[in-house]
Amino acid sequence: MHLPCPCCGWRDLREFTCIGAADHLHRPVPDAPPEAWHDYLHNRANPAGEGRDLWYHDPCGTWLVASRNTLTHAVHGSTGLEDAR
Amino acid sequence: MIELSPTGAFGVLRLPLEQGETRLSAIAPPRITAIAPYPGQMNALSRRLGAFPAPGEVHDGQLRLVWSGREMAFAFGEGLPEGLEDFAALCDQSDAWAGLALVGQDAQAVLARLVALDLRALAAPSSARALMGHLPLLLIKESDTRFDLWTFRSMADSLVHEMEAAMRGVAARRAIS
Repeated sequence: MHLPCPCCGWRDLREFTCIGAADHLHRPVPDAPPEAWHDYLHNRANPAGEGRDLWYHDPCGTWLVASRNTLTHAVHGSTGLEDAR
Repeated sequence: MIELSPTGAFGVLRLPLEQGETRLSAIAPPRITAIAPYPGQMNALSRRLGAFPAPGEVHDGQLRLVWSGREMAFAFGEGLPEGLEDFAALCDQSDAWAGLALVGQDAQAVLARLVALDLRALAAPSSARALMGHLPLLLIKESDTRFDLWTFRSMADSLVHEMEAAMRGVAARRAIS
């Protein structure tokens, strides 16, 4: 599998670390209700199909959100984290 | 007062090393300065440096500017313009990195065993960040037959070990074909 790093272009999977669903980016405010924190920490949609995942490109230090289809394994592209929030 | 003489990063290792059609040698460590632009200062910094290298670029001038990671460049050599510290974080990395030069017509074949990167597609000169096994690597392609490989100085021994094994393998393959 290859992933597109916004900085380096398409690179091999072994250069990346997967952090998990891009939901990690939407951290609730500190005084949000417990349900919001529960969702943020534990509840994932785990879709069969298009998903957005948070990755780290180890060599160059870029965080990115990659769009990937979990049914076909197609990778559709990525966005650098500063543009993805 | 005791005078301490500096030793190279590969001081105790057997370099240069030759296997088949490749030769591996240590690069005499130049002054290396990491330049990381502060937010919003890229344009001002570029004006003072001439240009700031985009991903993969190597600029050769009075000193060599090499793209070395996200929003970071390494300046190899002396003569950094004055006053850059207002626009970028500057950090002397001379002692922190160790470099090897891999030269020879099998250089790409050797690296193909170690680096998950299509080296044929790179321009010369150009730079790339990659991994060699677990080693962080700053790779500079000088030509189709010369590559400079930089890694953290603490990992210099591992870099030579990886390179020697790959060079041996490619040389053996060449010997029987």
